[in-house]
Amino acid sequence: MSGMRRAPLALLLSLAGCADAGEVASSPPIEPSRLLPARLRRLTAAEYDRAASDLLSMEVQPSIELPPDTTLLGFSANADGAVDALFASKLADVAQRLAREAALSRLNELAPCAGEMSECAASFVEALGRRAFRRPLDADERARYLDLFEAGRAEEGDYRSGVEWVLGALLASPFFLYLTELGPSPGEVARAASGETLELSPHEVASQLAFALTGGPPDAALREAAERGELGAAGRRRQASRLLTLYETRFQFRRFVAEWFGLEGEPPVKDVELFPGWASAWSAMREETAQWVDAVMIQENGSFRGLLAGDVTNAGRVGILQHGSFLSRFAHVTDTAPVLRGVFVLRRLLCRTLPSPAELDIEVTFPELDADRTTRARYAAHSSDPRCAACHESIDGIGFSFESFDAIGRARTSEAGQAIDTSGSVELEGTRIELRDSAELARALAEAPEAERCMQRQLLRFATGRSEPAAEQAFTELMTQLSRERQASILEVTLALTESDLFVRRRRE
Amino acid sequence: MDLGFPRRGLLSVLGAGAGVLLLPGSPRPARAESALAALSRFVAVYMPHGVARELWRPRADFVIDYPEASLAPFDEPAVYGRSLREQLLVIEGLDLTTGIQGGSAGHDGSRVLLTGSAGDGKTASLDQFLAIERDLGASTPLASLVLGVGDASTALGHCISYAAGGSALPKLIDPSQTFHEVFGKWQLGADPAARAEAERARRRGQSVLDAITADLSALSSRLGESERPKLEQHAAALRELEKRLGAFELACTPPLAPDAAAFPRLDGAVYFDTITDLQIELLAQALACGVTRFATLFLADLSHTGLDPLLPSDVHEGVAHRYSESRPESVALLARQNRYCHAKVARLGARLHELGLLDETLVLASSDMGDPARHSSRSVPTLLLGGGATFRPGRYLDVRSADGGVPNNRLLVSLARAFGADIDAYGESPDARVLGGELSLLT
Repeated sequence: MSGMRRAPLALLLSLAGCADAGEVASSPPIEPSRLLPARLRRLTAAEYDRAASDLLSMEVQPSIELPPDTTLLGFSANADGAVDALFASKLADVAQRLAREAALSRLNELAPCAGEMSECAASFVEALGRRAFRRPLDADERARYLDLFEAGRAEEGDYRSGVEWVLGALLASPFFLYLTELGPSPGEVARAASGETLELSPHEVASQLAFALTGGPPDAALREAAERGELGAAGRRRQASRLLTLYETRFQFRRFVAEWFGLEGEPPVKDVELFPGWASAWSAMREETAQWVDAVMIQENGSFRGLLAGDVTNAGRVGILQHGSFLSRFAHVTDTAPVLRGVFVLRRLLCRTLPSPAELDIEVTFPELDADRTTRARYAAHSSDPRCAACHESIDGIGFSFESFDAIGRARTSEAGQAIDTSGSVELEGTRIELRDSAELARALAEAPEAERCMQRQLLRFATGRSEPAAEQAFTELMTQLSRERQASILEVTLALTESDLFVRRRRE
Repeated sequence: MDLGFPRRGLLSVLGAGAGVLLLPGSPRPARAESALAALSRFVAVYMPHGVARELWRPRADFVIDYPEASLAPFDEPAVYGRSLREQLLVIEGLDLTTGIQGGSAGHDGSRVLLTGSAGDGKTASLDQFLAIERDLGASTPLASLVLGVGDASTALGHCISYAAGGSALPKLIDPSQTFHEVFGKWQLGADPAARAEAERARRRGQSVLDAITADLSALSSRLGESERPKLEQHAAALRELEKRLGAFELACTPPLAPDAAAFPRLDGAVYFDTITDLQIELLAQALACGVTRFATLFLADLSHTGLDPLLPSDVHEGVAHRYSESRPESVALLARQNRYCHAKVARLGARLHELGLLDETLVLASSDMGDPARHSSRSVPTLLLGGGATFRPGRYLDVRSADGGVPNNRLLVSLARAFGADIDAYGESPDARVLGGELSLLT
C-alpha cells in the first residue's frame, strides 16, 4: 500500500474524460419546491479547525475546547446546529487565545507593516477579513474592523495588540462561523433571481465546494475562480475535479463513509473478559476501514459496488459490511445485534422509513442471554409475536445473515455448541430474495438501484448538512442521466452534484 | 454499600472555604428568612435506568429506610448530617406521554423529561424556560448551568436541557471546565496588577463582542424567517457573554479549582464518582454564590466503575435489561443502581441545606424510563426535594388513575407556576389534552 500514499485520489477520473459531464449541467432548472431551502450552516468542529488554521497560517485544533457537534442522521454537517451560551463562551475564549498566539508568533506573515500604521491596518483588515469571511468585506465591515484595530492599538499601545483584537473578533464572527446562503449582496447585480429562489454568490459557491469536497475553506485557485466568475457548471466541475486530485481530499471521503456507517464517536463498549485486547482492536479496525475506503476511491473510482461488496485490499472480506468496524459498532457488549445490523441496512443503505418500537407504543424487552441457545433462537419472539413480525421479518432477515461474525466482527462457525445458520432474506424492488449469508446480502445490495439512490441521498445530506426529501428525490432523478457506471460511483455523483442546479440555487423561505 | 459523604476528602480536592463568606461591600446572599420565601432556584437531575419499584416505593407512614430500600439515602442523618425525608416528595405514575406518542421513549425519554415534547419539539426545557424566557436568570452571570458526567454527547437520549427551538444544550463534563465557567472568570485578586489586567481583558472582550454583535445584526437582517430563531439564540448567547463582562461580585469566597489529578480521564469510568461529587459541589456553590439559579445534571451509571462489587460491570445489559419483578435478585441489583443515584441527589440536597438554600431551591430528579427491561417510559420515578412547603413534601404520591398514568407535562406546568409563570400548558403534542392543567395532587 505504500505506493498508494501519494497517488492522486481520482486517478481514473482524470483519464476517463468527461463524456456526459454536460448532461447534468444542461438539465432543465429544478422547480423551486424541490430545491434545498436557504439555510445558515454552522461549521463543524473539524471544519472550524481547518478554517482557523487556514486563516492564521498555523496548524491549530481549537475544537478540542468546543462542545461536540450535534449530528443529523449521523452526519456532523448539520444546518440545525445553533450557538448556545456555552458554545459562545468557549468560542470567545478559544478565539482570544488563538488571536494572541498568532499575533505573537506570526505577526509578519499575517499583518506585515513596513510603512505607515494606518495603511498597514487597512491592508491587513481587508486581506484577513476577506480570508475569514470567505468574501470581500463591505464598507461597514471594513470600518467596523478598522475601528476595532484602533481600539486595540490605543488600549495596549502597540500595533500587535490591534491585530490581536481584530483576529479575536474574526475567529468568532458569525461570518466566519457559518456558511451563508444569502445570494449576492444587495449591492451586487442579482442574476436569475426570482422572488422564490436565490442563486448563491460566487464566493458562497466556492465555500460550498471547498467544504463539501475537502472539509476546509477554499484554496487560492478556488478563491480566484470565484473572483473571476468562473464557477458556472463547467467551472465548478473543473474545480471539483481538481480538488479530487489533492492528497488531503481522501480524509473527507473517509469521513463521509465513517459518518454514513456510524463508525465515528466513542468506541463501542465490549466485555473485556470475553474480548481481551479490545481497546486497541477498535482503533486498528477504524484504520483498516479508512485505508480500504482510500483504496476503493483511488483504485475503483469510488465504486459503490466496490464499497459494499468488493475486496480491494484482498482482506478476505466481502465489502464494508464485513469489516470489524461495522460489525463491532452494530453489536452489543457480549453478543451480536441482528436487529441493529438489520435496522442499519434498512435505514442507512436503503433509506427506508422504519418506525421505532416506541413510535408504535411497543415496549421492548431484550431476549435473555442464554449460553445454550443461538442468537437466532433467542430472538424468536420477533416472529412469533404478530406485533413484532411485520417489521422484524425484514429486519431480522437481514440481521441474521451476519451471524457468522461475532460481537467484535470475528468469523465464527458455531454458537452455543450449534452450527451457525446465516440464512436470511432481503426485499428489493418488491421481491423477497433469499440469502445464504451476508456476502450474498452485500452483493444484492451492491447491485440494487434502491441502494444506489440511497447512497446518492446520503452524499447530498453529507455535503449540505440537511435532509430534504423533495430535493433528494430531485437529485436521484438527475443522477439517472449519468451512465449506469457513473451513477454508482461516489466520486462521479459528487462531481455531478457540484455541476447541478441543486448545488447553487436555493429556495427562499 | 456506603457511598457516604466524605466532606473532608472532597474539601481537600476542592479546597473550599468554610461556607458562605461575604466580600466587603458585596450584597448579602438571599438567605431564606422563612419557609414562605418564594422558590428562586431550580435543579434537575437525570438518573439512568428507571427504577426497581419494589424497593423504591415508600412503605406505610412514608418509611424509606427499610432493608435494601433505594431511597434510604434521604433518611441517613449519620451520613448526610440530617435526614432529608421531610423535604422529599416521591411521585409515582407520571408518564413521558409525548415521548411515547412521538417516538422519543425508552432510551430517548430524556428528551421529554423537562420539555414535555418529543424529538422534533421546539419547546425549551423547564430550566431554560424559567431562566431565559421568563428572564429569571437575567440578574446572574450565568443564566443556567448544564452539567454531565463522562459523556459530552448532545445526541437524543443524552441530554435533558433544550433551548427554545429544540437544540440540545452541551454539557460541561470536566469539573475543571465547570469551575472555569462558574468561578474562573471572576477571580478578583487583591493584586492591583491582576485587577488591571482583568479590566483590560474586559474592555477587549466588550469591543470584540460589539463587532461580532454588529456582524450578527447585519446577517440577521438578510435572513429568511425560518432561520431567525437560530440567530436569535446566537444573539441571546452573545447577550449572556456581555452580561458576564459586567462587574460582578461573588456572594461568597470562591472555592479553589478542582485538582485535575483526581480525574485524569474524563471518559474513565473509574473516575466518574469523583467527577460526580465535584460537579455536585460546584453546582451547589454556583447557586450559593449567586452565579446562577438554574442547573441540570446528567448522571452516569455504575458501569465499569468498579464501585459496587455486587453489580455486573455493564449495568445496562447486565442489570437494567434483566430486571423483572418476578425475580427478586434482579430487583435488588437494579435497586443498588437506583440507590447510588439517590445518594447523589441526597448529597446535593444536604449540601444545599448546609448552604442555607434548600428551602428556596426545588430539585427534580427523574429518569427516562420506569421499567428499564421493557424500555417503558410509563410511570417514571419522580422525586422532588426541597422547595420548602410549596408541594407539601414528606410524602408519597401515586397519581395514577383508572385511566393510567398522568402526562409529565402536568408536573412541568405545576413547577413553572410555582416559579411564578402563569401558564396552563407545557410542551407540544398533537393531542392538546396532554399538555394542559396542573398536577393537582401536588399542592
